[in-house]
Parts: sequence; C-alpha cells; structure tokens
Amino acid sequence: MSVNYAPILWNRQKKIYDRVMLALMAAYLIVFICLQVIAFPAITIETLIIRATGTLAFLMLHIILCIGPLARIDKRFLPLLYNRRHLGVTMCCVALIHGVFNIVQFHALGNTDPIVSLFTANKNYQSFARFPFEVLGFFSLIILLLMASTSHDFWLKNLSPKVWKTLHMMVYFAYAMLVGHVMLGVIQLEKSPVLIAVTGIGMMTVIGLHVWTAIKTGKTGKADEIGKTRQLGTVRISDIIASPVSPVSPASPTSPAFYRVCRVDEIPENRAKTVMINGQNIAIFKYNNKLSAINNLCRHQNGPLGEGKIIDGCITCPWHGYQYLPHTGQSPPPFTEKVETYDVDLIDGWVYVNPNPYPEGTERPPRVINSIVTRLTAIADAYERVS
Amino acid sequence: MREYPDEFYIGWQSEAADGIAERVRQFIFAVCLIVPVIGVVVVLNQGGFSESAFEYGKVTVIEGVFTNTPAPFLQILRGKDVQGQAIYQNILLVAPGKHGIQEMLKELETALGHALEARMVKMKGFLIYHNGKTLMEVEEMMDIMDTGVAIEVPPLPTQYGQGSVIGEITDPKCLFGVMKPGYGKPHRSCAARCIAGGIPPVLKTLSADGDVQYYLLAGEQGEMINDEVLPYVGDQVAVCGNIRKVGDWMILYKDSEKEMMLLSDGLAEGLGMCR
Amino acid sequence: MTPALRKYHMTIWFALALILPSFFVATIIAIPKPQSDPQFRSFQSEALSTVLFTAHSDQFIIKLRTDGPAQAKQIEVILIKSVSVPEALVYLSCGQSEKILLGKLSSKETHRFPLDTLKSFDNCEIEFFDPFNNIVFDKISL
Repeated sequence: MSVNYAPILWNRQKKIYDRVMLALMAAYLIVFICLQVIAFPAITIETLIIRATGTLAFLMLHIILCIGPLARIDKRFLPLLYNRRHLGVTMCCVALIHGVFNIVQFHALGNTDPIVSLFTANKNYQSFARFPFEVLGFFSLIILLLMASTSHDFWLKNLSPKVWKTLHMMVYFAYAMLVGHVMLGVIQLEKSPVLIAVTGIGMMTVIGLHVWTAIKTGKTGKADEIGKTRQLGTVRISDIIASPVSPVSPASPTSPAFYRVCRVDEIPENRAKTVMINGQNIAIFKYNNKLSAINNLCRHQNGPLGEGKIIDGCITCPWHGYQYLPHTGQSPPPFTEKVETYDVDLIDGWVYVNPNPYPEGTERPPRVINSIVTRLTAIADAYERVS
Repeated sequence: MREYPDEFYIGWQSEAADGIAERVRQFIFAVCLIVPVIGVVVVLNQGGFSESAFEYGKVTVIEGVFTNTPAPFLQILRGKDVQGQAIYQNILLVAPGKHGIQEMLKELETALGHALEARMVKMKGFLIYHNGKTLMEVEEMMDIMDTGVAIEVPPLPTQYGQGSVIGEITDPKCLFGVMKPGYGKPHRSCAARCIAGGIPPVLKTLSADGDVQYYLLAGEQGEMINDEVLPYVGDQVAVCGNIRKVGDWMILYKDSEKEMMLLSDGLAEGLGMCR
Repeated sequence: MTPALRKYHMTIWFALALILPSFFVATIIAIPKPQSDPQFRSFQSEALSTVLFTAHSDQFIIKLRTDGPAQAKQIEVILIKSVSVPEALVYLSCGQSEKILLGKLSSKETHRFPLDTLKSFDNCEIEFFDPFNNIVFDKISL
C-alpha cells in the first residue's frame, strides 16, 4: 500500500510478474517479426510494426480480461490479479505504438491534420460494411490511455473508488470497440477463415468466462464457501434477539438489533463468514478465540475482505494485500485506510451481528468465544440429534 | 484433484502456498504455449504482400518529354519495335507525402515563365514501381530541369472506344510501392488522403484468371476528378467512359453524364453497365 | 466487488454476450467477395493459332506462335509472377546481331509481341532488360 505517491512499490512477486510478462511479449514479437520476414520478405517495416503491435496488444487485452473471472472462479488465480495493472499499462503502451504508427502512416503528410483526417478520410458512418473502423480503434485507445494514466492508487484515492471503478469498467466498452476495429478493419482485407476463427475464439473465451462467472457466483442460496457472501432471506422474529451483553447499536436504536448469521464453528480460524443484511456487506472474522465484524469492502478497490485471511493479526485483503485490524477496522500505522465496524455476539453457539455500522475506524471490543458455553451447546445439539 | 482448502497468498509475502503456486504455473505454461502459437498462426494466415518497391533514398535521374495531359508524366522513348512503333515508358510524377505534383509544377512554370508541356525535362527523385507501372517521387522543384524543346514527340493516344470497367479505386503511389497493402479497407483512408492531395486516382481491375489492368482516371476532357472519386475510394465500383492508351498507361476518361456506381448498390444484373 | 458492481458486471456481460457474437457474424457477412470484371479487357493482340515452341524461366513462360499460312510469328509472354523491376523491356537477341526491341511489360497480363515473319530463331534468346539498373534480369533460349 502506498502512503505517499510513489511510482511502484516493488516486491519479489511484482518483479517476477513483470519479467514473465516482458519475456512473453519479447517472445511474441521475435516469433512474429522473424516469421514475417521469412514468410513475407516483401513486407514494409511500417506494416510489420503496425501488425506486430496491434496483434500483441489485442492478445494481451484478452489475457487481462480473463484474469478477473478466473480469480472469481478459482481464488488460486488471485496472484495474477495482484499485478494486473502492470499488464494493463504495458498493453496500453503497445497499443499506443500501434495507434501512432497508424495515424502517421495513413493520415500524416497529407493536406489535412492527421487527427482530423482520421475522422474525415472515410465518412461512411451510415454504412455498416464501410464504417470507418479507425475511429473505433481511436476511441478504444483513448479509454485505454485514460485507464493507464489513472492506474495508480493516487488516482484511486483522489477520484474516489466509485468514479475510478466506473472509469476502469470502460475497458469492456473498449474491448467491444476493438472487436469492431479488427473485424471491420483488417479482417475485411485479410479474410482468412483461420484469422476469423482465432478472433472469434478469443472473443467467446472472454465472454464465456465472464458469463460463467456471473452465473456461478451471482445468486443467493447457494452452498457457502469460505467467505462467500450469503444473503439472509426473510428473517423470522424468533431470529431477532437483543443480546443482554451487547448494547443496541446507537446508529439505529429502533431497528432490530442483531441478526443470526451462522454457527461459530462454521467460521474457520483466521477466516470469515460474509453476510449481507439491510444493505450492509459484513465480514465476521474468527481469530484467537474471538469474533469481530467489519465491513466486507476493502477501501482500496472494494475487494472482498471476507475472502481474505488474518495474517500477523491483521485482516488481509486477497486482492492487493491491504490490511485492517479486526477490532478497529483501521489499517496499521502508518497506513490510514479504515472500514466500518459492527457489534457481534455469540449465544448458544450462534453468531449474531448488528448490521448498524459504527463510523469507520471505531474500536469495538471483540466477542470472546466462551469455551464452556460452546461445549455445552455442542452437547445439547448432539442430544437433540440422538433423540 | 488435490485440495488446497485454506491456502492464502498475497504478493508481498515471500513464498506462495503449493496449491496457489501450482495453479499460477499452469496458467503461465498455458500462456507460454498460446502466445507463440498465436503469433505463428496470425503471420502464416495473412494474404501476402506484393513485390512492389519504393526506392526511397536512392536517387534516379530520368529525362524525357513532359506532359500534363491527362496526368503529369515524363515520357521516355525506349526504342521502336519490329513494326516501327515507338515504345514509350510514361513515368507518373508525384510529390512527397500524400501530394500530387501540380503545385510544384505551377511554381516551376511561373519561375520559368513558360509551360513545360511537350518540353524535354530532366528530373531526379525516387522510383516507385510494380507490375510494369513506374512512378517517381520528386522531392522539390530544384530537382526538375527544363532541358529544351523535345525533338521526338510522343504519338497521340491510341483510342479504344467506350467501355465500362469494374474495379477498386485507389491511389497509385501507395498501390505501386509506398504501402503494403496499398489497397483494400485498411488502406482506404490513406488512398483518400493521397487522392485529396492531388495524386491521380487509379482504377485497379482484375480478370477471372488473375490478370490485372490499371486505368488512370480522368474527366471527359482530361481534367482532374479527384474530388468526384473520393466517396468511392476503396470500394468496388463501375466506371464508364472513353478508354485511351497514353504511352504504357491506360486512361479512362470518365463520362461526365454517367455516375460511378458502387457494386454494393445492387449492380448484379446489369454488371458492367452504367446508368 | 460490491453487490451493485457485480450486478453491473453481469448486465454488461450478458449484453455483450448477445451483441458481440451477432456483430461478429454481421462483419463476416460484410466481407467483400473477390470481384473480377466480367468485361475485363486485355489490350494485347489476339493470340496466333499455332504454338511452335514453349520455354520458361522462374518468372515467365514464352510461347512462339504462328498463324500457319502467312507464317506471321508472335512471341507470347506469360507472367508467372509480378515483375519487380522499374522497367521490363523485352528483346530478341540472336548471336552477335543487334538486339531487337519487341516491347515492354506494362501490366500483369499475357503480352504478345509481333516478330519478323521470315526470321530464323536459331541461337536466339528472349531477354528481359531493366534500363534503370542496366541489367538483363532474365533470359530464355528459343
């Protein structure tokens, strides 16, 4: 996490990530250029650069777009998400080279300003087949440049996570425009069924992964995994209880104080259970024979804190490693991020949480897990099952 | 499949847990396979590039009879064939970038005080050539020298009568050497830019057997029709007019009363017929 | 990832799942078909009826044609691939005699050049000459 504006805070994983990325990019360019020169020696250097950088950037974007849904489906892909922004910025640089070469090659040295020429050399905006595909590429590049230039946490903080995320979700729009740029551009000339098939497979892979992930992780009522948000259905009156040891939250004294969430032994050690109650996204952590509840959304990029783990006494976000103390919701000094905290209770082995949030960073004493109570509850449950 | 129920790793930790490391390695391995394969597949499935050439940086000096009708040519006499017919090579002249040479010529003629038409002219520049057609990019006015009156005058154009031609309009500078490819949708904007800049448009037409013919397009009286053809650049069109041969170039003098027609406008039945 | 964001993602990707494949298919349909001119004109002479002789190189096929009765002769030059020189003049070269200019290659099509009717073609070659680089870039023996 960056406290001040520092370009990149390097660590071993980031260095390995970037080295692998650069090595693969170099491998692609070497294979592409060497094979191109051998197979088609008549090609010009400008066309070679345009095609090498264009295809590389498009390929990189496909890989980048696959990382998000893969990490949702299988959290073992999360290390790929950790440094994804480096992939994105690098891809944008490659795309920029492609764009600049195209503008210079096809629009410069004429009787019109090159950027004006980009929009006016082909005016068939009313036609589908003859549509100026360059314009689609241009606007995609603008989106990618905006994203690359605001990829640093500095912008995340200053634009606010909501605005920042909205801007960065425009990558989907950029991707759609790039599919148009390729299919209405070079494919109209090259026409090879193999090239069309490769483009189609790439597109369906990205779409398929996102749709599959949406279906798999979307709705309520599914079997819980560690940290998966489970929305409570209609809460019965019998589930609502005001604990004699935990005060009603001062934020909303008239609403029901606590909601039953789960059995305490359903929460693994140093992990969390997440629930959505009355619009509050809450993660309840169990650690050192204690329970604490904080808001599930990391203040960095709204990562799911409930899918994280307690490391060295701190809740650690699985996306980028931002940390929070469980009983205060504060990041350990010198960091300043804070999340809301909630009251949590434990009665007869059941975990209850009060969904009325305390202001960010408010210390709330953790609920100690009383071992005698827990054992008695287990004996009572076992008796019930036998009888 | 191995289970890794409670593994957690974040980038600033020194080592990843086994299950996570294994999954990441699998991903990297897959990408290491896919990336070069994609590169090979993309390269090998391109349509290819012409053997056209642009001798940028290599200065060639030529001398011949200049004409600006219907396009700026330097006509070089190569000899006479067995029937005594003069064999001329017409080198189409263009300026640097996406510009025609008309501005440069006007400036020179003003400086000289007379037209260059039908005079012997020596010029130097960079050759552009492909499929029997040759152009020269003349860098500046100083590269053109009037060397006197032409002794041998090229013959009049050979008349071939009315005809209609179907093909793609593009600019000859890119088509014959400067860009690859110099035709088709990706090149369309560049061709439009070149034609808008004064480079004479060319109609490239194909036979079913793969033979290629190039027609330089001009107006009915030999005037420039660059603005008129701009909306049709890069498309398959049908053009009607009078066909003549000037040196080794076919010229199509477009009929002013007949519009160019896009083939996508449903010309299937009356293919080749102009309205 | 907030629930609202998850919902936006789902909406966007379900929309793209419908729009993008349809668009993709539409662009394939829009690919222009290769178009030849059914009235393609060649401005070369008509081929004479009888082929006396055929020879070839990597770039060209040469046919020596005659019309039989009048014994007019013709050299037909078929291009196997495009000419990649600034100028291609076609000469008939027979021993020490002066070379005869037959014509030039001016497009990618079959060219036909008339020959002297009574000419003997022993020890003759067809030479392809580039005057800009002053080289004979191909020759074929008759």
